[in-house]
Amino acid sequence: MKKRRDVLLAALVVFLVWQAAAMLVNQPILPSPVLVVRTFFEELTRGLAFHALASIWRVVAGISIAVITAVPAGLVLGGSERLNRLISPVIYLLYPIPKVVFVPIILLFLGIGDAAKIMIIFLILFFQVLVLVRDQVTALPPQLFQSLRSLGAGRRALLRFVYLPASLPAILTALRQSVGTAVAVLYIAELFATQRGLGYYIYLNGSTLLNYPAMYAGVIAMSLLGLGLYFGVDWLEKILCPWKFTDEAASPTRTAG
Amino acid sequence: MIDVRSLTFGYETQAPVFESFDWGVKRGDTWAVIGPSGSGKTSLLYLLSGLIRPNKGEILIENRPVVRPRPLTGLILQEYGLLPWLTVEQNAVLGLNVRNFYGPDGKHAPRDHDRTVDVHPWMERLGIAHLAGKYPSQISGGERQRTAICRTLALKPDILLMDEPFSSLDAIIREDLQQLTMALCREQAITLIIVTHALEEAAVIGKKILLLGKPPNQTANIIKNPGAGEKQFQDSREYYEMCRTIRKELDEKTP
Repeated sequence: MKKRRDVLLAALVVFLVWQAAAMLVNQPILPSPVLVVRTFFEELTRGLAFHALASIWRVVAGISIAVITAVPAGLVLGGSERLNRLISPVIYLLYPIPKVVFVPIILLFLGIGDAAKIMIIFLILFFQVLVLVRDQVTALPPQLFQSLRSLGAGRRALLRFVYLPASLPAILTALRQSVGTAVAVLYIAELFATQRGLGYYIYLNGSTLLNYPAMYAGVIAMSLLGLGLYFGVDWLEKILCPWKFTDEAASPTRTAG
Repeated sequence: MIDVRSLTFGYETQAPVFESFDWGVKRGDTWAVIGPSGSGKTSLLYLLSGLIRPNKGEILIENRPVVRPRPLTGLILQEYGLLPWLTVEQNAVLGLNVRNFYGPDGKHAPRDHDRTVDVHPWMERLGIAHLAGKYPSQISGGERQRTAICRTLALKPDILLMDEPFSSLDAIIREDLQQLTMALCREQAITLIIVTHALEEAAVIGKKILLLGKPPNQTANIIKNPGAGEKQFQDSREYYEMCRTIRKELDEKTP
């Protein structure tokens, strides 16, 4: 596939630029990519995999809880004009707040366990998914459900046959937009009060152990986590929304027939 | 079959489009409703379908007031009737799926609803079987309308309401679909009411034509057009006369 080839090519370019920069700088704080990749594989069995799993668990749990709660909420708000009018000022107020500022507060309330980290990721994603699903539902052309209502569909059937499938692309867009932020904030959250996770691993190797190749290996692991989530969303979209990937989908509709 | 009794209906800020309006439709009739935009054509169709309610008066179908969409009334709109995330086959079977979702409860689906109805003979009949796996974005406007008709007819309706179903289609395809729709309605003994702004279409399809004018509509202006639906009607002098009559009536109604 063309896209995959382009991604590989881009990775090669990054690798080469990094190598050149490492040779120019020539200091331990910028090891060569060859060394870092080797360290990455060595470190995997020496704790890196363990820390990565801790981070993956937190991200996946946070995303899952956000989707499970935000989707129904978005569907309800999108489906009910009155409720939306009531609630949307609150969302309007909360939505733009950078959720990372809640990190210290959440740590105070939820303490040092996984719950705090999961909560932070949940917060970032929840509003994103909620807003996009709600907007998707309100933007549906009325003809779409009128013809279905005339077939006998009541509220429950509309939810099952129209609202839910119609909001799938919105859910995936929300995920794509916010997994990057989620991983970034996870890093911040893992700097505090934990001894597990890639954030902790990177910080420990960089500032305490001064093991720079290992620190970079951690950075690579974190990048792979972000990339993996991103590709995961793309993959889900291909599975769940095959109608968006038809050749003709992008072309204007024909009227002859 | 359909009794519209002193119907008054209007949108909030505007003058009513119907005021004490009476109209009757017999079983098996083929009606065309024509009028300029804003004359209440589409509103009338939505009122009949039960998607909106009258302000005053009532609409009776088989002596029962219409208060919600009636399972045996089919509605086909000009566009957007198909769900873009479903294939032609999935769209065609959607109406049946909605019915099976509720079961034969008499409210969303008829009490004698048969869960095992097969949509495929209908897809064959409408000439869309070969498109089963395509998405609506991949097929033509005519094929989309065929899918919508298939989905509705598979539910065995006794009334079919159509809102400008063919107006975005090319002339030849439009004529094909007009003929097919009339043939299917005759075959299935379906009462057809089609809303159109094209007077030729009204003349071709409507054995009776309801003319709506500038609101409020207070009386039903009806033109009888018994030749409609006959073979070669479109080549006859009768047809041209009918078009002239409709045009004259419409001109009088639109200032």
